[in-house]
Amino acid sequence: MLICEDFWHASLPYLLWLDGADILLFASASPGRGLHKDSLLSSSEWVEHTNRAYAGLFTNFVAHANRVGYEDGLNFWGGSTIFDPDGNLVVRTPDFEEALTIAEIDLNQLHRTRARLPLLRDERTNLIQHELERILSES
Amino acid sequence: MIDLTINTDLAKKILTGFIRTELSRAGFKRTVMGVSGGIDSALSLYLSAAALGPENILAVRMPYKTSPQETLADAQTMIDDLGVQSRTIEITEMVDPLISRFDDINKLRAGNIMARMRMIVLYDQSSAFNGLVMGTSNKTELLLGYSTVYGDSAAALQPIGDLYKAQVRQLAKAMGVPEEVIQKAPSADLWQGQTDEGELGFTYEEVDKLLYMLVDQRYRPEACVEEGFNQTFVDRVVQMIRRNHFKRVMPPIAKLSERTIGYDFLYPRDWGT
Repeated sequence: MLICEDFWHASLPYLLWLDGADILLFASASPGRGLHKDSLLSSSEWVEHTNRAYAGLFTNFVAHANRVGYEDGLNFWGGSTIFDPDGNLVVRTPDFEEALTIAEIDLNQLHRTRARLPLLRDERTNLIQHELERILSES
Repeated sequence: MIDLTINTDLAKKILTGFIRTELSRAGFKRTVMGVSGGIDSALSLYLSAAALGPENILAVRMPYKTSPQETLADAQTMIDDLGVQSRTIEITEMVDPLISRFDDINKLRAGNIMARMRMIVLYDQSSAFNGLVMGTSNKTELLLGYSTVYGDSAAALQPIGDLYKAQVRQLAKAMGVPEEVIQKAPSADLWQGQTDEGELGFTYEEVDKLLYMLVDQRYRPEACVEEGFNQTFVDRVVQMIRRNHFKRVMPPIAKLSERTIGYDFLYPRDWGT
């Protein structure tokens, strides 16, 4: 489980993935920003893209719960989501409204997706470790 | 390509929720607001009525003797259209004694006196009606400092303060504000013939785009010139934003103690609610 900005640093979901997590649980109080002509705020759209990308790249379920409401002028848009290991949207709660949303997920999908797309199996952790050590030693 | 188009359904949803929530957190369900007949107060009025119900709104018309009749009539049309509560409190006999004390009074000083008298009327009605004062300032005028400090800028909430004038027009149209109010040349109506664009020396259309680049998109002034904005115009607008910043923040408190309001005693305005 990761909270707020922690899950926008790709390194942390990555570590959870390597550590064997099948479901990434994200909780945030993320303020809305960026009103344009689209029906979603820019921040809401960005978070959704990011979560979808995590689900697809890590072949994981990603369940994100976001705060709804207002504080000192800021708005919190809600719009909680679950994405499946193929990056498909399972459920999305309404924007700007409190909701208890229940969705069924099939954990066997992890196996099916990962058999087709064995990203976790093929991850070169030794190379990552080596490169991280090099980068840190040079900085 | 600068596009200031907003999704008006989303804007309405966020702003009505903001009005409802922030008022109720402060323990209120009613609001008091000045309604001039211009587009900004019209939009604040329509949003407030949608958020709180017309019975919880007190719209106050506060004409001075030179205020245009048609603008006052527009305000009345909107009050009738929404079915909000209303009062008309003329400020002429309150401000003229002060204005007439000074031989060297000018339009600017007289206009500021009027704006501040309207603030006094609204805050008095706020107590009588048990409702908070709703602000009507838009982002363009807040950034340019085109307002009277402690006058029209005084309010408990600013629902349209993050919308540029062009966006105010879009949302006003979507909310059903009458077309004649939307089309009218914006004016503070502090003296006869005053228009915002005449006084500012540029159009809202031009300055909204520049402000969007400078503020929202964080372009440096020189990058705005590279994008095609006139150098003198950019310099003037940058200076207006900077010089009027004092209107947007609380006055500085001289720090003496270990913990000082405004520096290291910082809480949200709706702290603890």
